[in-house]
Amino acid sequence: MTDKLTFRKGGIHPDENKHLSENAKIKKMDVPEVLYMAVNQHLGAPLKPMVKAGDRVLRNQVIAEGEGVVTSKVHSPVSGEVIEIKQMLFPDEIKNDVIVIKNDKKYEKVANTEQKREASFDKEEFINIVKNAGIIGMGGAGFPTQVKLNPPKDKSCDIFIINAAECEPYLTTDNRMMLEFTSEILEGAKIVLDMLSINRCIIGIEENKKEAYEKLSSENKESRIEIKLLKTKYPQGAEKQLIYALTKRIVPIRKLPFEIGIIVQNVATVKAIYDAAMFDKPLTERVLTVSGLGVKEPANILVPIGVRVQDIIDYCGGLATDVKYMINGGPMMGKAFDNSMLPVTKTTSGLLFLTDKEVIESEENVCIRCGRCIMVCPMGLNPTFLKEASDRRDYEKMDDVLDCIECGSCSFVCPSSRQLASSIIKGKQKYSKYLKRGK
Amino acid sequence: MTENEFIVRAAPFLKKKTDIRMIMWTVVLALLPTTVWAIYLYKLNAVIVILSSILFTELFEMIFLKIRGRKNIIATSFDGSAFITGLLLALNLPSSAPWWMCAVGAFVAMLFGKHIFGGLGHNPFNPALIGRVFLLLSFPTLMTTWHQGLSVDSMTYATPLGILKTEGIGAVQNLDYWKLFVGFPIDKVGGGSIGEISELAVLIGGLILIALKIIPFFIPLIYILTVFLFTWIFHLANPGMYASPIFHIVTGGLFLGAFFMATDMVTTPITPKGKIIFAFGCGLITSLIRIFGAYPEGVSFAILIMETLTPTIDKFAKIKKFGASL
Repeated sequence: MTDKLTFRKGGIHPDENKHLSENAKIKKMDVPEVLYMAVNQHLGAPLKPMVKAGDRVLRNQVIAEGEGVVTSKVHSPVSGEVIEIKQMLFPDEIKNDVIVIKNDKKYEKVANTEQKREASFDKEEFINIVKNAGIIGMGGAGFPTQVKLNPPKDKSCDIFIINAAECEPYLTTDNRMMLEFTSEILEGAKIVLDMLSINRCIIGIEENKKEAYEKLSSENKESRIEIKLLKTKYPQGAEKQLIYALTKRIVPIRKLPFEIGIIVQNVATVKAIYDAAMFDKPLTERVLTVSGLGVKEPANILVPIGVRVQDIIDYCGGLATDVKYMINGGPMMGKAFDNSMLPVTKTTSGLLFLTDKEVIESEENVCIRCGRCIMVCPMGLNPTFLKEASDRRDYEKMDDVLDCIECGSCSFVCPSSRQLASSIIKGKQKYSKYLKRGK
Repeated sequence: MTENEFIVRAAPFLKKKTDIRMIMWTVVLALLPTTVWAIYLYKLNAVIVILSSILFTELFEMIFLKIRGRKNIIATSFDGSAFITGLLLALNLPSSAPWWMCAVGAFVAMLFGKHIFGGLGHNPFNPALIGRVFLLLSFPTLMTTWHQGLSVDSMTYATPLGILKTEGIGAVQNLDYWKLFVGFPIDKVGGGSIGEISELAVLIGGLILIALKIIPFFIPLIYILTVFLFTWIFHLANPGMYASPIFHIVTGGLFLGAFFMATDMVTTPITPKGKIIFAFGCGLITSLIRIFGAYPEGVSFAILIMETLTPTIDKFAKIKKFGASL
């Protein structure tokens, strides 16, 4: 047996804890009475609400959009009435307008949506379909998908990678989607290959999801699509690491995968592309994992975008009394928050409820220069050095913070429990501001 | 409505369980074979050296923590780091070292080796080595009074490296390398510091640390290999004057230094490339002192000299970023 595919530098092996939810079939949650649609769910220029209080909206109607290239749209998952537009505070103190819609339970659709698309389309129309469906990277980053599918004219791409590594512990949405939407994902991949004239698609799956690997492999009849098993190692799902693991190509520093002829999309995003291209269905729902020892019934559920976390907690049997952390995303890169009235967005891949059995709090101690953070950094950075420079705002020494992919491996291994990643991430913001000020 | 109180803080929320305490006490454990062998060879004398070194080191750790206004003094002083310093100091002393000399060494190690710089993590030099070198310079006779292990008489002898330095190669040519490596006493030959007699015992502990990924294998490997190659070149050029490389690696404090001091995290370079340069430099200086220096042994000095270069090495031995062209 040859060496198993994986990335080269660094990496860690946290407890996966996927067993809590990996065998739970995707359940469709009932749409609640009221939905809370965050206006800005993507990475890019802010959107504007297209409706006002009192308006009646239809299912699939655009309720927020913006201008420019790196933009997206938000659609209403239900028909009903806009009650109000209010500001809410999201994790990281980010203020965001939220369109509150009362569900009239009629599910009246915008004409011609959610039915089989009759007309064929070319590349340009395809990019527009994706854009108009409001699809953004559903792995967590939320970058508008039409931009990622549309390389600059001078770059030609020859490999389309589907990111099914799902390296974050606990999360099992990609796994369940591959098992339950196998043909949709394979068809979605074909559409992308056809539209972008690419002849090779690689689906990268970590070996802790063998069942999904086998199901995709046995159903795949398309010679252009290869399904590859990866050694389980965090952060395999990070774009640059995954590209290297699957193709041995290296994305040059501070460049995009386009540079080396590669486009990467997450599994859930490919399913959304399929829905939009085949059925003219905008992105108004997603699958997410609800897990952790703090929730009574861990599950993978299909929810409308805009459902409140509290509704999901109730749907999953409530919380254990010793729950300490509520996390949007995975336990390595997710964000802790304390307001269960916040809604799910397109990038919510999981909601974790962790207890202090799972999260060990220990006091930050002094660096003993053991170098473990350097050994695990997948980007080849010196985290302890960058943390100190960041904390001191020593801009001359901080340039490398821009190469940090925020995976948290350094904090994970630090025997002194130093919050390396969070200091470096803050340093990244400080340094970017400093650069903008013009040095 | 949920009534739970949630903690909001930055990711990640998972953590590896290995902490400073576990690392430090594992190193202590890895020094156990060496400690046991020292006690086997020198009985009560070794016990006195080891106990007084550790007790006084811990005592001064507590006193200086107190003076520095630290909280959790008991917990901090037993994080294992002071214990290692005390034990390493003891293992670097002769069996005849009186208790008060151990106390002086412990005092210097803790004050000038550690707390004056701000304690654990901030000291530029290995505290045990600071203590040891201070004693060597202050009490040159007491520090070079060697007994033969297991012997009941009170005769003192020179160590193999000492014999080589004063009497030349002829006097050491017939020594049994295997006995030197395992640490068996040799008639009319002084053992040396109580922790450096058995290379085998040090090696067993060192391999445990390598297996547990607490130290990288390449630091001791490069250090020992450099000494081997360097002394080999001289030996090949003039075997009648320079001792064999095998003699050099099975004598003196090379193994103890290479596995347990050149791998000290706080005082040696942090980047992998830096560690390689450091280990090579230690090997080079050790060989130079042994071959040309006034002292028969150079491990302590070599490591201390290289430690002065640690910040500089770290600055130039950069890590290659993933995706960087060079």
